[in-house]
Amino acid sequence: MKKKSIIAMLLAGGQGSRLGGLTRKIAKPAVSFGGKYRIIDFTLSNCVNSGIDTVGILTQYKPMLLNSYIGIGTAWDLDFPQGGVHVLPPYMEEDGGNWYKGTANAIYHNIDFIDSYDPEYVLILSGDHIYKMDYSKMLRFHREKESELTIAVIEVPWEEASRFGIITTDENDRVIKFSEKPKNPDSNLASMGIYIFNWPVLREALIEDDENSQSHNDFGKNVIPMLYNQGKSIFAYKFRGYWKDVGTIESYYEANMDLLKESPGLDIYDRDFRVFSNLNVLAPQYIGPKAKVINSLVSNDCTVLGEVKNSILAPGVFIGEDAVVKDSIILPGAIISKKAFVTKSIIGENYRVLPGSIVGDRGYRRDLPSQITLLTDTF
Amino acid sequence: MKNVTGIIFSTCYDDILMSLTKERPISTVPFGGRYRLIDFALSNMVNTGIRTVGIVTPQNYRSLLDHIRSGKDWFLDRKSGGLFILPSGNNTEESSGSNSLLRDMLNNLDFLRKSRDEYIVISSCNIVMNTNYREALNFHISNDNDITLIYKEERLKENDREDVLLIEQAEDRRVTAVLCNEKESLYRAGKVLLDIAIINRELLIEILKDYDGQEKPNFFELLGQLVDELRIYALEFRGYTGRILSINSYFQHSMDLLNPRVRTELFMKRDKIHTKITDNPPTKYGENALVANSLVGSGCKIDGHVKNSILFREAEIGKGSVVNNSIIMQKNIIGESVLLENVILDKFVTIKDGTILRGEKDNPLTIDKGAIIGPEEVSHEKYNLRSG
Repeated sequence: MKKKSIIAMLLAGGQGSRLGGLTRKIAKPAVSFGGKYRIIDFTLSNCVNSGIDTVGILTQYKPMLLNSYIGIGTAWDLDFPQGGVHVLPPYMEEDGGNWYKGTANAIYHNIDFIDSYDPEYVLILSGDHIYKMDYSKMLRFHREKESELTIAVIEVPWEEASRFGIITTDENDRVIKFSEKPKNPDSNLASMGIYIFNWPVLREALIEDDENSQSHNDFGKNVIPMLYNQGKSIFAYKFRGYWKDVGTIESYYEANMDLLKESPGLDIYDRDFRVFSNLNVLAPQYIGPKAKVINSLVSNDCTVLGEVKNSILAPGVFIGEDAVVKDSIILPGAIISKKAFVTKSIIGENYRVLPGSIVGDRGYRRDLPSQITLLTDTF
Repeated sequence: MKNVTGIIFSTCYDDILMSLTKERPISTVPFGGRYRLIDFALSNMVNTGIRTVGIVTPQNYRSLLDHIRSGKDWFLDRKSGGLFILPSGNNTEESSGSNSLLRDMLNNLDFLRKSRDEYIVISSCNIVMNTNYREALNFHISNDNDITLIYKEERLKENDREDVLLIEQAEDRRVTAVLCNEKESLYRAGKVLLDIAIINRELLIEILKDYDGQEKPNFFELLGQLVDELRIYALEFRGYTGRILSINSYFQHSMDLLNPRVRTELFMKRDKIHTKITDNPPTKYGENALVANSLVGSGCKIDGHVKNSILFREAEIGKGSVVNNSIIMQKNIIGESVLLENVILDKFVTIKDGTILRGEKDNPLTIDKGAIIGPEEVSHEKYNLRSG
């Protein structure tokens, strides 16, 4: 196999249990986002936009839709003859088979895969973040600093710092401290869960970590602290831009709604850094004679006969006559029947809201905090 | 569907859409918010299960190749079969008003000779319809036809060209005559050929060999001479057809898409119309948007009023602008406080703030590709009111 400078390993096996019904049937990276996208589109598009042509995708939890969605990566221009996209599920070995235990364990089981490309660097990514990032800039930083491990970090508001894995650096961006969800943070640089390793360093660390029966085989908890204690050269790369972990219903809802802002942090219309997705050809959307669509994103194949405000409609959504949808996210193929009233809700894929139903907080007001209602199929 | 090869004539009627076909063949005229006209003929073939399709290219085929590329978006990037480009001869004079030229097929006789398929489906590319040819092929095979045609029972309209062909049929559906549309037959209902034919490959090669290169250059016109010696049958198509023969019919059939029945038949059926995938983001409706009874492509940004219109991908409509009964093609930028009524804007048009453009309902104003128009520059002489 041709030698690669860098390959990406994308962790896409997590269950995403905090997304409730959204991940009951599908893996988190396959959850619909921003109308026409699925969460993994952002990371895969980043790869191709950064000039990375080899991506291993580690799957585990309910991978059916994810696998068929990824295919061989054609939709992201990642179907290359040497390299391309490889879906890497857990597999049987001589001594039996195991599920991927932690993030590092998943990579450990695919050492042979990475070796086959003999890369200098390995980029570790998560499949559940919404952001646009040029990894080639991070790689340049990694090389310039002669780093062995570079961790991408983002500034978060100080008051939220205690929710993240916080990284403290010296004036040369060298990492001098890790603190997982610190009560009194001395830095507001949060780890984005994006790492560039020198492959020989990572390879050795994965084997060492696997031999430690006490380890959870997790990058953040085990492998990176171990490398730090070994005195490896670790730097933090500051990313400036929009980044959101959509691990919870609240953050998923917020990140969607961020797209409706006057000038959203994430520009999905930028032709120079496109976000690709895998969709069949769908008919244009139809907006009916009595419809009203305001401050919303509407995807192909939607039919809107009612009122839609501050909302996001994924492909194939139907909004019936006299139905009202406000501050909501309607996922692919969902039907909002006539005279239904939907506020601050997430309506799951292919879910059917019956005529005249009221979904969402009855006394809901946009300026007051309120719960998000999530409706998904139960079977 | 095994044993079947398709041939699409993308050469037909290049002159009839005026400025819309100035720089492109009719096959790549944008239609319906995201499609090109050839998408319909091509999808109908592919949805029939035909995996080998030859496209007879017109002279100016850049935009056609740009659109079709490897044929991947129609699943025609195949190891066996797939997409074939069949260059037409230098027929600038004869191409106008002619279609399915025998000479173009003769130029590509090797394509037919090399094929191992028994049947050939021939189609033009100026008819908007969603169908597949399975029923016709089954009829063709089981009834041992030499040629099977497809027609639509319709009332001829004033703006139908004289070269629309009509057929007469016996009770067993055998075709007894193929006639050119006469002036006096206007407003009469008739069986109008849809320029779709199924023919045995060997027979087609025979016909091409006999063709002397002069008379009856159009395959379908030739059929009139063959009705006695060959078993030619025809089946009726009862669905929607939008035959694009002029700017007016282009405008009318585009507006047909606002009719739910037509839209459902064309776009919501199991058989989809496929087109080049460009991966645009969703369309953004702004705070001041008011859109009614319109078909909208993806990637648009709308902050004005749009009514009874077709918007193609990535069109932008500024605040305070009103777009009524118009076709706004890809990447048009409409500024603020613009009024457009009965207008067709070709791609990449910029309309500056405060401009007013009005055509007539049965005589839409068409604006050339890439034009930049401000309020002071509008003159109907320059942007000619085109008659259909």
